[in-house]
Amino acid sequence: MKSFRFIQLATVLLLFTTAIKAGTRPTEKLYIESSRFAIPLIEKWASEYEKANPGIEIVLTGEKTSGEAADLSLVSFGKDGTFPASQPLFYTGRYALLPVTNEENPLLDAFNRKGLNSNRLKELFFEKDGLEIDSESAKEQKHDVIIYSGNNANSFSASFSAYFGHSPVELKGKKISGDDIFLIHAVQNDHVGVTFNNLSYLFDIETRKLKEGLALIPLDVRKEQREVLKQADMDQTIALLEREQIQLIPVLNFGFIYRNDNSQAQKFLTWILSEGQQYNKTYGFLPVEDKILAAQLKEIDNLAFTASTN
Amino acid sequence: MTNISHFFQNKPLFVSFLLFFSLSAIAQQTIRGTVVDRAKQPIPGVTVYVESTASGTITDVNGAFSLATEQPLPVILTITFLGFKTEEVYVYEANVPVNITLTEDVNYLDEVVVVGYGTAKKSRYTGSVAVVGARALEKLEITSIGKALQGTVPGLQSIATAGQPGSDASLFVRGIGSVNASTAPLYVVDGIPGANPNQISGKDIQSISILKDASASALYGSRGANGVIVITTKSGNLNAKPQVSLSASVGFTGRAVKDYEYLSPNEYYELQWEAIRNTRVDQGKTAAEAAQYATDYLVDGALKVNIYGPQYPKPVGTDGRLASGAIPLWNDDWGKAISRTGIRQQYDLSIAGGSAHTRYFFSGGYLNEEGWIRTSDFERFNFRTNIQSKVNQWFDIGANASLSSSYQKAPSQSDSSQGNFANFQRLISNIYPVYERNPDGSYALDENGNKKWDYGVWRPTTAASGVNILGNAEHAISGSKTEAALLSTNLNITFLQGLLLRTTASIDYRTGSSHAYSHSYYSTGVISEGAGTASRSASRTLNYTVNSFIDYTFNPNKSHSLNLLAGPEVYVNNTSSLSGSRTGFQVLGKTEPSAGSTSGTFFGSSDNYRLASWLSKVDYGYLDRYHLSASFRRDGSSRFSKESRWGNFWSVGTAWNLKKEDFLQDVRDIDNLNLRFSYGAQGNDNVGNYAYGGFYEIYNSLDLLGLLPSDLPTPNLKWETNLNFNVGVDISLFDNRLIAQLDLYNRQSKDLLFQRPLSPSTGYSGINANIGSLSNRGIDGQITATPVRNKYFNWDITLNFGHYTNRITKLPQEEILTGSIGQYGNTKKMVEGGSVYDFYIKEWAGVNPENGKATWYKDVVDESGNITGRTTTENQTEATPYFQGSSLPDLYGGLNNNLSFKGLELSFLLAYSIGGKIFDGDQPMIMHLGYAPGRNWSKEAITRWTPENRDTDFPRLSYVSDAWNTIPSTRFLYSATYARLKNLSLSYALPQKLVAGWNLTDIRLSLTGENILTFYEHKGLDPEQTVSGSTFYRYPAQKSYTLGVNVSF
Repeated sequence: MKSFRFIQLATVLLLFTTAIKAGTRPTEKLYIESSRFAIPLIEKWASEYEKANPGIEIVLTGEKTSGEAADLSLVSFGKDGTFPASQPLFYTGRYALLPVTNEENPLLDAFNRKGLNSNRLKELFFEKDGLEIDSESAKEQKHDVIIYSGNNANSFSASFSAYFGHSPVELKGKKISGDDIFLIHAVQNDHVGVTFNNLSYLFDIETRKLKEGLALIPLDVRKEQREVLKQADMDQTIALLEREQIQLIPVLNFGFIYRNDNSQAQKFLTWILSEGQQYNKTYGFLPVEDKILAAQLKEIDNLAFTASTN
Repeated sequence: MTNISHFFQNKPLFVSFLLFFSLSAIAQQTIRGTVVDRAKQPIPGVTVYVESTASGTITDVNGAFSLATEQPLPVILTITFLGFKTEEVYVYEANVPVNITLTEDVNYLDEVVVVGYGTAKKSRYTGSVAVVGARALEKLEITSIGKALQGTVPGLQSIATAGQPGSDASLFVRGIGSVNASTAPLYVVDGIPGANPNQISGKDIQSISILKDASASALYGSRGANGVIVITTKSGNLNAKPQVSLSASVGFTGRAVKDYEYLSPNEYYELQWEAIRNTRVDQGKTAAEAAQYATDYLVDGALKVNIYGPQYPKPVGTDGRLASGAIPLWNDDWGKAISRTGIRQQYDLSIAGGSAHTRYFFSGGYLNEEGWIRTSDFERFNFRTNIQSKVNQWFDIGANASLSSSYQKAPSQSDSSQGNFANFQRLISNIYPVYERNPDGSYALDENGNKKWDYGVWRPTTAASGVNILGNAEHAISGSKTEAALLSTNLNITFLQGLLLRTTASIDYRTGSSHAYSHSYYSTGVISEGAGTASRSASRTLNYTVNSFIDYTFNPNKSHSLNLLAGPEVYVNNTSSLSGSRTGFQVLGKTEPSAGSTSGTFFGSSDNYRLASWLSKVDYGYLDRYHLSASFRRDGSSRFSKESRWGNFWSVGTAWNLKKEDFLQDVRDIDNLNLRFSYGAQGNDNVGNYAYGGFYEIYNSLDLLGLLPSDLPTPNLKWETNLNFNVGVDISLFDNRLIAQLDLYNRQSKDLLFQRPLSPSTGYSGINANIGSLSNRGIDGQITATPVRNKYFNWDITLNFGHYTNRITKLPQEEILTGSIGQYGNTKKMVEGGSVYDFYIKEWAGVNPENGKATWYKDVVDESGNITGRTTTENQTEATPYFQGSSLPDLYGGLNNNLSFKGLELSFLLAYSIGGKIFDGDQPMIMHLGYAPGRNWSKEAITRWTPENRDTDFPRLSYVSDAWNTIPSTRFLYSATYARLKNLSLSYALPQKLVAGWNLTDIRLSLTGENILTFYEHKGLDPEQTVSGSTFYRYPAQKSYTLGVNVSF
């Protein structure tokens, strides 16, 4: 008897679930491939878009079940510092890279009012073992550091190195295989560890503050800029980078490549470039620059038109 | 839901199984990835392991690896491969492929080099050593090692004295260290001293180390004074699957340096006419009478051949011009007739690899090189087996065996005789036909319709009458065979950590044989009595070396390191030889001596030489920054009497690695800086096996036999000693884009062997004694720059150079005349303060414009014998000889360029020598004035003196003048500055993807040229002479072009 009841209950549950699903079955799926760093933002875009477009289900995956390529593929930066030019590409946001270290690193005390300039930054990451700082006593001191950088194809190592005129192979220190999020763990566990990463990994999305155990490495920037960075607040930092271009902080585009004849993908992209931009900052990214935004919207429009007429 | 929980509660085993399975699945993870170099080429054979575990693997042919580990993530992967910097990667996610790029480790001072009795890291080595690695050797087509080293090593002079295939170059390391003893460096092949390196294939060589100073070569004691060349052959690698390598090359050989320019037939007839006419005028005839006489005498009396045919019986008229319409009926060229385009082929196969404990290398090869002079060839077979095995923790054993058999056909090529192939085209003008001709110029054929060699028995004696060198060679035999076996075994026993016993035993066994045959029938058509000669010779050499050393390494902590080496060595050499000849061959075609009816000469002898030694070495290092070394060797040689048998040889050296000092550690632009210093004494015992004994000569006077004392005994005779001082620096800058090595040295040679003159009343001219000394002070170095180095393109340039000043510091007499050339007499003089090879000859003063006679300078001397000035003289016996410079160069070395772009590689080596003088001993023969009718005649004769052409350097022609215009003088002394494009190589490695598709590892095509261009001002002379700067009648240099393919799998 007991087993019979169990079977009854299971059957009812199954029918109920099926009914619900049948009532809300989407008519179309959109597959999106992305590196981990952008997934929280893409999931937000996806959920908001689905609300406004109930007939669409957005799936974050590498491939469709049929084995075809994704409708949209995220690209943050080409391996050689260039985007692949063979397919249409649209920027949907910007990420910024900042150098950080363990908050207990002795070198933080050695910085005087000036921080790292361009030469010292390149020496630190690419050219020398250790870091020389002009300390308060005006005598150069050498500090041991261990640089951590990502080794994989999707790592920010490529974009960071290219921005400063080097190649990822030239990065000093230790390499990490795995997503760049693990660089944060490495530095948190090594008091002389130094790395660079994008804001969405460095800051806690909830508290809007730098993650525990980390400290931003002071940079040789203008006083007002330095004061903002010193706050280690994500929103203030993003606002600063939106207003001003700071040479020592790479701010780079990321976006999607898509297939020409996918109108749903175009619609989703149009939405991202209009409604979706408001969510960028929440997740640690900058919105697309205004002038690029307008041009891209127009471009998508043209593509949609030519697609519909073919 | 309750039922479900009951279900699981009642099935604990099932639950446990599920849990265990899950946990197991999580515990073991597989990490995958690929390893590439900076050019994105996969690197097979790279070791990848998880740190602190036994989990490791190596990459496959595609550079891919897969490694399972139970360690929780993150793990540290260590990636290591020889020649690349070790990388470490922290793996946080197992499902993400790990892609690693390895960077080449170009730390120049971390290179391990083979030195005396072991290996050393360059940064810790106190001696001066230059290394030529396998990569550099691969680009060269090596027939002989000495020739291959030209221009590649700073401080090494390599002078190829002959272009004959299979002949080697003479090598000099840091100047000329002796006068009467040998100056050759010691060759050590796989630890076997004195081995002949030309019995091994160049493809088998892994590296060649040249040990130049005391610290480097003092361990070779009495044999190290002239430097040591250590050759190491290839061995396999541990944990490597068999790598098969097959290479084949085919090419052509030719003459590297053009011959002199000679008169054309038309010019020859006209100038010979003029010589006859001039002599008749000198004999008092009128101009008209002399002209008529010359016209009548030219063909029938002087040249004995009329190339213009019966239509022009007197081809040159009384005006001295060729008759109108006269055209030569043949166009033979003796220089071309004796030369050919030779074919060079080389095939080599090798297999190398190893298991976890044993590595091996097998090879076999064949070389066949035809020289550009007909009948000169070299052929060689060689085989090699090298095996090294670690039997267990404390016992290593290895054996190297090589066998070779070579045959060299070398026609006579080193004297003024008419049998000298290399010289023949200078003896005879091209107006004489190579094959017999009819008067109308057509070939005179034999009964079978074949051409017949023209032996020219009708030619004047000055035109090699009765000789046709090609005809003679057709039926002659001249060749020698050498077979050699080099066997060495080694065993190492490790008693404790750092303490081991290294024992080596080796045998070097060689046999040589030669066979020569010739018969005058082939030139005269007659078998005269006693004609024909055949000879055979055989020699056997057996050397063996046994040594055993205790090798102790002690590293108490990271600051100190100590290594001690000590033990005995024994070297034994036995040589025996015999030779004989017979004459009187009445039956043609039988070439063995037994077929001769008349007994001829017979010789036989044997020789022994033994060397017993104790050697020791200590190396100490502090903080891997300061290094000290000292060595001591005591040799006892059978070449010296008991009183002088034993000698001590030693060295001390230091090295300071400045880069490791605090003040330089952070200087980014300096990658390495190492200072070296060494001082020590080495010996040269190449004075003959029985140097100290008294000798008698066997004397045969009209069949009365007797003994004649020839040399007095010299019980105090000992070896020559070298005291060597060296200061050197190694530096690399700008991320190893500029690497330089510079050494300053002072090499003092004393106790040199000379003859001390004795009064004639003693019955002896002199007695051997160690009474001379000389010094070589110089600088040598090498600079390598890499102007371009990126992912696709690499360009590096290496310049190496050497300069030394050679000075005699003590001579037993005030002066010694040397450098005798045939009938010319001495051309050099040694005095204290001068070099060993200073030219001392008469100075050419040009042609007297008044009468066209040759003149030389002479001193004007007053009654008291003081020189008051200089004047000229037409009498060469009155001419004064002067010092005219040394044959030794001021600067020599090589310039090497390597360019690579993806799979394409272009390299060239330019060997150069600047300064010094050469005496051209060949040119005088063709600079006659017309008194050698029929001999080949230099084009320069066109500029001869005439009343209309008085301002010239070529004297007036004459049929019977004295030959003194061609005595050794500065007229034939030229600058020795030259450059030679010694090697040009273009190679292409097929793309990896294509090659992998055929299951191969590498396919490389190459085009190589050797000696293809020579830049030298004096045409006709090959500027690469003997070190003494005088040469004549020798086989000129050879160039070659080869196309090769190399396949590995």
